[in-house]
Amino acid sequence: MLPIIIVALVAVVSGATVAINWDKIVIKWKGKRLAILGERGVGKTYFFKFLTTGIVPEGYKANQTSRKMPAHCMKLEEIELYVKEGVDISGSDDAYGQWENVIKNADFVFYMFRIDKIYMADDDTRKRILRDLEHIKGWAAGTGKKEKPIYLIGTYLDQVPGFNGSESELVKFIDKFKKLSVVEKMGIHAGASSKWIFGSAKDELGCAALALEIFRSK
Amino acid sequence: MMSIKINLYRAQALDNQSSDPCEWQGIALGAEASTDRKIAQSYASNISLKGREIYSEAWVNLFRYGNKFLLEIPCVEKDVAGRIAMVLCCGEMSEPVNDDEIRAVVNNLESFAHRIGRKVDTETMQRGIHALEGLKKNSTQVIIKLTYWITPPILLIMFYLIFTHH
Repeated sequence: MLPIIIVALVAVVSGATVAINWDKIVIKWKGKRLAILGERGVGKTYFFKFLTTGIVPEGYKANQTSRKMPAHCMKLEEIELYVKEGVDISGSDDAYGQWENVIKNADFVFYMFRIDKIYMADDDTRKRILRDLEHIKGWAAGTGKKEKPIYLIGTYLDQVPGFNGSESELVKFIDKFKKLSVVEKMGIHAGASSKWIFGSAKDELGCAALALEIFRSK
Repeated sequence: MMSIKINLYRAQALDNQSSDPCEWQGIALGAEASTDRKIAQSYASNISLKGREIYSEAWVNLFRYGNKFLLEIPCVEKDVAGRIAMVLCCGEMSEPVNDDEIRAVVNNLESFAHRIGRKVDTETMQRGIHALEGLKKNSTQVIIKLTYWITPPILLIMFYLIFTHH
């Protein structure tokens, strides 16, 4: 079972906008396989559909089985993103067998989780996330290849009580969030090469912002 | 003899936390039955991934993979995230299937939904029946196409054998 594949990532330079170290970014992502995982209702399919169709569905259903997604090409600001077909997998822990298969074939793991539930100390969510990351760590290590970078993508940022969306608020929030003990444990499980991304996958703007932050990262 | 056998009924838990309701080969699987649950999940995903989606309308989806199929229909209820909550059944068919068997598949899926406290509206039930009828038509069309392509070569071989032996 193949994860989603980034066929190419090309910088489209316009005006005075020039991405620094763009060659390194392109090398990092071109031809790479991504596993997009997370428990139910975190925004995986919305993000997956955005990457593979450019749009986010209006009406939407919970994903019970794995589904193939078609190839797609789209432009996000200075980036042209070519995504080869991939598989959207259920977030149920009954699908762990498929998660393991996808991780074995992936170069990067995108693990999506709900920031708002962590922030509001939802115990079931915390337990599930730590269990997921422990499994992911084990499966990734089991491939015998070098450490697979894990992107910890927090969604539902707009649902965090009191968060007003400003840049300064975001910096303060991230600082406070990363000090939570469950978040520290998440970082340990995800490994030294992990990266944190915060946002919302509720609509196209949110998904585009997440994708830009991920694919611009060095 | 029944030509459709349903192996799996499944739905996603509406709270997105609890174990998904799952009946595998006639047995309701609890959360602790993790091995069987994974087998059931793989069984369904195998059909949706390797098969073809031969019907998709108003959230009713039908996949076919060889003699296996997966039918997914929406319930009236939505999950805590506001998403449409589906129930699905997976099974195997030996052809030919008849209309009574098709109706039984949809009725039994509706019964499963009822067992887990969900409702399926009449229009969805009708759409499910319509989807499965498409499955029947596809089988017949495949047989016709195969006959069309296989018959001439067989006839040629037969004529060759007859004439060369004379």
